[in-house]
Amino acid sequence: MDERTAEAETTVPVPSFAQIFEQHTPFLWRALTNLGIPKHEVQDLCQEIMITVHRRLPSFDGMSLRGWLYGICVRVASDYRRSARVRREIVSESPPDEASSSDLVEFIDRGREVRLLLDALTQLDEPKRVAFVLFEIEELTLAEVSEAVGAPLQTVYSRIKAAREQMQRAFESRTSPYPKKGGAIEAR
Amino acid sequence: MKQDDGAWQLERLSAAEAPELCRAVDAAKQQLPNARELAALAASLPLQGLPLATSGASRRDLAAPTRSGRYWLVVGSAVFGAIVICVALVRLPVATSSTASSHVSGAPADPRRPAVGGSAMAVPGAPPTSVNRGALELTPSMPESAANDASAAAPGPSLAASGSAPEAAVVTNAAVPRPAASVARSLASPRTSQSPAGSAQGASLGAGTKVQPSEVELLRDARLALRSSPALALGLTEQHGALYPRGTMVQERELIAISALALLGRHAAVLSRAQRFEHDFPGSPYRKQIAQIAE
Repeated sequence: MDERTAEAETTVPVPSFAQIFEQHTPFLWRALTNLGIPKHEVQDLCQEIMITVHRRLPSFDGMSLRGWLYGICVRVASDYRRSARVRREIVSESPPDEASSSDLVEFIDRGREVRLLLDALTQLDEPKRVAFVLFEIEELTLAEVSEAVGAPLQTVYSRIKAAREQMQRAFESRTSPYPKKGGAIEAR
Repeated sequence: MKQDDGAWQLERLSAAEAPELCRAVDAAKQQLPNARELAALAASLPLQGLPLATSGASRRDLAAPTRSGRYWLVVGSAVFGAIVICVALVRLPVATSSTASSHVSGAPADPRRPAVGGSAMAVPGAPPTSVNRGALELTPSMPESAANDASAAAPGPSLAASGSAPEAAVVTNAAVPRPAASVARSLASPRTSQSPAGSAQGASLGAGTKVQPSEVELLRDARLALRSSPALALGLTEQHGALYPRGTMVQERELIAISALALLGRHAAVLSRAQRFEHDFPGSPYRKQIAQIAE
């Protein structure tokens, strides 16, 4: 059975604004980061998302809450990227500043991988980046991604496939920026 | 929309087909905001007229954001006022001057620094200048606690033993009272909750004036700044290098500097500095950790 049909049949009551905030904000925050929003702007944009959610919640049709929320998230991020203030920003900056692990090496390793991912994501065009982030990182269904970006399923499907191929190529070409032990690379 | 069950099925990326990419995606999934960031966001919403506390809010309530916003502003102000009064009452027997209460009450106004007010209440017996100090010391401990521990154990610059003893016994800050001069110096030194620019300015001021930050203070601040601002941490290690080129905590400085460089993505510098460290300190207890970072 198609996921969208299944979801429509099991439509649940629309949650309150507070519930939405509690359950979805951390993931929307993460999505903003992966969509290229600089760390210092994420909180403001999250607030912008919540303001929009609050304003439009009464008109939400109750179909796919995640698709609807991420749709707002994608539009807010897209508006930000188009705005004048972002023109001189660098999309991928330092890795997130705190991790649950207390191990410094693991923290740095994870930061390195995230940095690689963000660097590779910046090479994608916006529709592909959005499709990849929503499907692979946020784990939305195809139908939810389709709703979030307002594109047909087949378009979303093609974008994800193309984004994957491009990302894989990027990772294969630069596996690790560090040579194996013993390799001599001089500093700048 | 035409939906074809079979045509548009897509499995998520598997580790078998792209292990590196998959690992990076998994790492990205773990990058959720921390509690402090979420609390700051939650604190900012009522000011925008968004009723966060009403989990069971009806649609009618949601449709009237302006009225609701005013309500929450009033409630928020009342709660804030009550907290200020409580803090002032708790501190009254110790510090009766108005500067102390205004110092504390100013803290919650900035939602990005929620810990300051809390720590002030946690140490009611401490003098007013120790409020920020308390917030700093209550920050979650860093992986290598040598600098912090050394700072708590002996607040002077003569810390020869700590340089090569990462397993030094943990001495809690509360158990060891600090001299007034040490507290004054620490207030002039940067803190992680401040902006990097402001902190760097504070550090340079500390270096330029008679009250020069000690090795321990510089490296402790660098370590605390590492995660939130690696650039600041690097700057502090450079300052340490300038002030104490032959200090007793050179190895700790190098560890922090190399970690900061790795976080900043300056891979070549990491490798070079790690190789130099290995050459200069072949028997260092930090050698393995640095090799892992540079790997």
